[in-house]
Amino acid sequence: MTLSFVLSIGVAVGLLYVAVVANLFLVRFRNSAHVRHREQLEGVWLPLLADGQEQIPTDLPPLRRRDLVPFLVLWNQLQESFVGEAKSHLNTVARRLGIDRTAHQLLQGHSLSRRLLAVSTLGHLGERSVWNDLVRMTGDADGLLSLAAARALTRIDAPAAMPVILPLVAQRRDWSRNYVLGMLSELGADVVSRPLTEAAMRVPIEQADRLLQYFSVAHVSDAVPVVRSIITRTKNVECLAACLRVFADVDDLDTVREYLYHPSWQVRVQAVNVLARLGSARDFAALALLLTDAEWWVRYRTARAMCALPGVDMARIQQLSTEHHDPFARDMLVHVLAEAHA
Amino acid sequence: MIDGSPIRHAFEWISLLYLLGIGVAYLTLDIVSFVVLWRHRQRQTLGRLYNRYSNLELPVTLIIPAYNEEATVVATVRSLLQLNYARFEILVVNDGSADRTLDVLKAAFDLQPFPEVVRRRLATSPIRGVYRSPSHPELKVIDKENGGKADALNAGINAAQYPLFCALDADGVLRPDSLQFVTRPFLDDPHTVAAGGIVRIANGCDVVNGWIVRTGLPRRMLPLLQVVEYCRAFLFGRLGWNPFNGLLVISGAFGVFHKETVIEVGGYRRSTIGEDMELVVRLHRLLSRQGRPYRVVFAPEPVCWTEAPEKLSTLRSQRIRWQRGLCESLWLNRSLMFSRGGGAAGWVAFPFTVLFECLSPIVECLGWVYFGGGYITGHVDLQLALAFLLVNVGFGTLLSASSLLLDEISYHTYPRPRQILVLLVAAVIENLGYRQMTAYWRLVGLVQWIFGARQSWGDMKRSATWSSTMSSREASAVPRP
Amino acid sequence: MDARASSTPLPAPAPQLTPANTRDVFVVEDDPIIARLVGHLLTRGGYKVHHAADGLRAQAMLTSSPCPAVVVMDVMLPYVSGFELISQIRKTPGWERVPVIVLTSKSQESDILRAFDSGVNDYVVKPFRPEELVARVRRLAEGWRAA
Repeated sequence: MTLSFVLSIGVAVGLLYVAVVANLFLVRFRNSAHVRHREQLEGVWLPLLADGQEQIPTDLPPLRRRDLVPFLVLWNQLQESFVGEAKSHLNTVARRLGIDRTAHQLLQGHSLSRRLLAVSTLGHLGERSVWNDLVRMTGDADGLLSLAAARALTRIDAPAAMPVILPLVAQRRDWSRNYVLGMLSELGADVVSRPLTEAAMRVPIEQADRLLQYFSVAHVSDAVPVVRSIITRTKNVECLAACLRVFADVDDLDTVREYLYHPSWQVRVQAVNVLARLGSARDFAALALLLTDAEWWVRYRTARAMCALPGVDMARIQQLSTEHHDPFARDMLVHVLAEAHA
Repeated sequence: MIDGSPIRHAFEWISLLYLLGIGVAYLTLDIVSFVVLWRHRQRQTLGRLYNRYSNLELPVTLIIPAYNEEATVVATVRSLLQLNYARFEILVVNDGSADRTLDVLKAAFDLQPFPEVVRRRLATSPIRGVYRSPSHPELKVIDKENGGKADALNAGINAAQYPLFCALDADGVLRPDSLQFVTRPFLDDPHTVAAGGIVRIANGCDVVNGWIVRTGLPRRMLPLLQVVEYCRAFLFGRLGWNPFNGLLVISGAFGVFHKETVIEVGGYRRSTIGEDMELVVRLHRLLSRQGRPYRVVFAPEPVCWTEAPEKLSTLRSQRIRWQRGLCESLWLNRSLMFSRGGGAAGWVAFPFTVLFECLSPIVECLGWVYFGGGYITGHVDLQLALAFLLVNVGFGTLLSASSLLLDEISYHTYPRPRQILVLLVAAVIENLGYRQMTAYWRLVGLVQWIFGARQSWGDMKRSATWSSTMSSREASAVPRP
Repeated sequence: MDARASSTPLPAPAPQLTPANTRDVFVVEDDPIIARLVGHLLTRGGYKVHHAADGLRAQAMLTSSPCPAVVVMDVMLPYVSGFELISQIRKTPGWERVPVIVLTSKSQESDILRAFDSGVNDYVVKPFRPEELVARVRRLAEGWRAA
């Protein structure tokens, strides 16, 4: 190892250090320029976009190339903030600016953030012309992009989007349950109910539970018949628990009671919960047996269900909480009684 | 030249190559971090839009283990109650404090005894009582007999009602939106089992009602150097592992976990000093052995601010403790290394950590003695000494500076230009003295672990309260970065 | 919670309304775009908007400013939660009866009930209709002045 070799490496490291430091200041400078630019852009455009219905000025300010991304972010944020007419006003302004064409171009680009922006924008604009592109994108390996495409499809034409999306909801494990729930809730039961419940009947039984978990969005009248059929065909614990959650009819109570002693506690808990909602005083004895369940959640929900049954005398529960032969059952009743008073 | 020169020659080469290896390895992580951050920001444009108006946030239980925290616990709980998050509960676990921790809580929040039955899913010291506050339904206090921090956390897990829990230090300062950031990985990927975020140094910041309202730099040198150190540790020491699912450490100051999975692997281990790290390594080991898809994620967002030690003696015991905790966590889970299905955690991150974090103090300290001492006494020539300086100090400074660049690109934590200049100077000083000092302490920790591990095992079990190895409360609360 | 008590009519002294503050509106909102948007809508409606971006700044305004005609606020606020802020507003002399509109993305029934229980006068869920928000502000501002 020669001195000059060591020194030249040293110089290289030193130069790299200088480059990093220079970059640091460059980034700082550029960031503050971006912030200023964004604020100035918002100052110009926010009034124009927010001032809706009355009048759109004939001479909109020009949208320069560098304005495009911050403008689209602002525009999409406003779309997410508004309901009703204000949204269509945003669309009118966007079309006047040629945003629909620009978004088409961005959609074909490589940058993920721009593609996401384009997908969202085209969805809000209701652009049917990109329907097939978006359908293709719902199959993209990137979960976020595929979900964004799905959401855009529902905004363009919700009923037509359902048959595209629901099979993916059943299959794609990378689609976050909460995002999907948010999307379906936003569409509402009138749009979602039929297609969702029918899809649950059609998909392979192993996938049914992934659709059943969104049944809270469906109308009970659509959901219950489907659940009655599925519950007889599955042994899957999650599927059974999801089915039980749906029941809302006293006619199904006999079915529900069969699951009170199911080997899996997740199923027992759901059965108890249904009794808490729909059960009657005649379920008291069956529930009292479950107070000795090995699983804490079952004991807890059972105690709560007993308090919730119509026509149950609280004194009877008080008495049970001191006299029950099982200390776990007593503890739980005391706990739940205290919660009821809190 | 003295005899034995082939051995010397080999030592010189091995140590230089080793240190060069460290430099290159971290530089690689650094570059990966740049890419990860860039991609993260790409996704954020829309991610934010999506989360805005949906009540999507997963409910979280915050567990705050408190041992002799009467001075701070009320303020901590008060600020946590104001967290900007849709649904959460706060569980303070009083771990048999000898002071008035429970009393001050009772008084401040009008706590009433509540006959709650806590499930004993993880074994813990006996619980004496559960308290609830009528004015704050989201607050619950568990009073239990002393069993150490891990034991207190396990008791909190037993009593938690929500599917995610967040382990917090009693004196950590959060951001109002901390929980939103760290729970996002759980929303984005259902296989996520644990997530951590960036921890920063609170010294020098303005704190009002338990919140950081203005970021600033510490005036004193020791915490200032730790600012740079934390930047480096978090911005690529952690972030770089993200794409490979190789994150082995989630700071005990703030980490969110999937409760059922943690219970499955047995909760926090009670007889260890680094229970936070040990849990994460064990999650990797057991989940990868089962072949389950899982993810341990680092959310590249600043979530927690912590007070750094300002005294040398406190810093010293902290670092010794960390090194022991690190060695112990890896040792206890050694079967993860090169295990079938171990993935990047077992095949890359684990050996990397053993090689470059457990053992590096040996080479670094020996290197300074050999090359530094050798140059002074004339046994080592100039170019060798320079080469050593270059791989040790030069690379370190470069890495520190680039972590400041990462911070600037992503978070812009320190808004004033003067702060950047101060940090750049600190990045140089950190590599000339501070790092060597901590390397020595880490060596001490390593030696203590090697010689003390088996003998003091029984002792440690008994005295495994969290302040046992620490000289002051300040140090015990400071997490590993 | 004593918030319920404060929603019942209080024998409080008549709020000190001066012509200067009958068109003042406080906006407490942490999202900069929404804050800017609401600020613009209300300014256009003829109101003078004072903005606080977090709970701490809102608290400071409580003590330092005269009571406005209306408060528009989110309940998810940094540093001090919206519910906490509402109860503080109701305890601040001169502010006991100021109309408060909550503008928030929290749309669950329990949140809405909790807000009304703590003495909120109106509740608007995001996403919202911009014109409707202005109309609600106008109704409350005028209703209070008439009272």
